[in-house]
Amino acid sequence: MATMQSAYDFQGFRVIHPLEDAPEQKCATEGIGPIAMTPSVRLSLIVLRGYLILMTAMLTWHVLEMAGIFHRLK
Amino acid sequence: MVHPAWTGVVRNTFIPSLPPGRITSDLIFLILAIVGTTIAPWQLFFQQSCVAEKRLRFADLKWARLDTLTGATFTVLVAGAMMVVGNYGLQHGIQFQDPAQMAKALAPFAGHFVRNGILLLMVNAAVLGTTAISLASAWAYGEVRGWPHSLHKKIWEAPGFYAVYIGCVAAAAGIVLIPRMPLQLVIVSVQVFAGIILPSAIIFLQLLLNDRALLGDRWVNRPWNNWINWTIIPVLFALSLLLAAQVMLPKLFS
Repeated sequence: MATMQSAYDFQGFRVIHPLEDAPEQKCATEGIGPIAMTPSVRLSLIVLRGYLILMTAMLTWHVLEMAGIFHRLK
Repeated sequence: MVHPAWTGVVRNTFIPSLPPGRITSDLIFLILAIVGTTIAPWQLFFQQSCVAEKRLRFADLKWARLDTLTGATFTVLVAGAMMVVGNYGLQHGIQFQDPAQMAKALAPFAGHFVRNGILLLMVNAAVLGTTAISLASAWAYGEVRGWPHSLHKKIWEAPGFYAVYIGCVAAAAGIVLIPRMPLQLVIVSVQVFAGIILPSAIIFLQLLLNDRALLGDRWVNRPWNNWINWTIIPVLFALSLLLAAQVMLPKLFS
């Protein structure tokens, strides 16, 4: 059987690291502006901010209590 | 080497249960800590910054996802192994407060290989945690402030970014070095804090991931993504509210 020979002279693969590759076309963010939010979403986020502040304060209180700080201050 | 009851390990992996006895405030605190450290909110910020830092292309995303899945699977396996070893210690009546004590106490029973393995894991976790969490904070803060924020830049090219990074590492080291600091309480409290802020972080992530104008049809969240996220959020809120109830009514679970 005749040996098959390709006319293409294969010299191996060239690996390009992402850091050395040409920059890729990214999703454009210009002109989009802030996220569109309904009034209910906006209100929910305000409530969420209050929740975060309150829970952080509560956790701080609880941890200080467990560490015995208040007991030592008495 | 430890020879756990594998049927029990597999059953409890897929059908978790509460320890025998009533629900106590310590148990709720611990559950919140486990949730907070398993689905850590800082990882949400770290992941996206890391992808940007590596300058991955859209074509690389599937490999990045595989990378994340491999890392998460390995982490869960290591955590599971630690729980199995801890259970082995408890069954042999070994008292311990932290993994280092557990490693030393287990040496006579399980051998030096287990002891050294546990200690090596702890060092690995400390180095990874210090680097990854501080970097996530520096990347996120630099992004919010509009500073240059990349490890590809020299220190004088991104001074704010490196200052936050070094400041976070120094603050963590400083807290650990404070004499008589209850380190176990500090560790668990930080994990609980992560559990409390996690639902908020996921909500912001949800808003971004459902922004079709920003992400386009190709990357916007699919319904099944939203189903998973909106299932996690109420569970975490419920756990947080349990903590709040516990703080306001300290005798509720005692």
